[in-house]
Amino acid sequence: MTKRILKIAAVYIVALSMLMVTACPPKDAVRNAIDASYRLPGATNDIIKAVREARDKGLITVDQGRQFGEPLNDLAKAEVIFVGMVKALNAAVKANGTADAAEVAKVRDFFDASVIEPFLRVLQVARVLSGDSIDLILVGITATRLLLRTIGLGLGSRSQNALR
Amino acid sequence: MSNITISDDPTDKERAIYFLKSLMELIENDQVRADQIRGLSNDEVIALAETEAAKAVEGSQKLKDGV
Repeated sequence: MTKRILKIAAVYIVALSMLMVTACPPKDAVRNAIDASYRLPGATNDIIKAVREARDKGLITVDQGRQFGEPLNDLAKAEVIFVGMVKALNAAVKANGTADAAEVAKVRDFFDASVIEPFLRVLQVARVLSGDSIDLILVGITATRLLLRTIGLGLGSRSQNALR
Repeated sequence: MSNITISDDPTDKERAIYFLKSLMELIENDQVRADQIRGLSNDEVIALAETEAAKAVEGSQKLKDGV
């Protein structure tokens, strides 16, 4: 079963890599930011749900759930701010007909400074709790980092190296 | 997720497999979300984003509090 799971995960990584490389219809930076403002907390909620279920099934302890909860809460609070910034950006575009490059850069910089770090901390908790079976979880972590890179690319993120 | 067998004393491997499957589901769900918002207006997506972000704060706070 483990080999099958790893094969499936490898397929996901390859598919995600192709998605990054393949030319998608270009979207403007504002729309990319708006999309990211939904995809990021969506992903966070998926992780929260998974951690809760793991705790309820006895796969992790309440304390281990708290270890996830702390960076997840930091991430969620950062995402609220991110959504607020994107909303303001959208309002400015509607008012002025165009996006101010400096305002777009602020959104990108906030993503780089305040969203990536707690997200990676969450993945690190999963890594630590996987102990000696780290080879299994690394595949999932790699795929998730790639997803973050994909979202970041659309924002013009400057933290691509941190997500390798 | 319900087809994972968990022993009374979960091993690192059981946790790792669970986390791996969770992360793979996350990536699948992200694609669903990306498809979902493709035809929506900016305002509509932002409204969804606000709901998701608020839900994430509430859910993560509960985990942090051990609830």
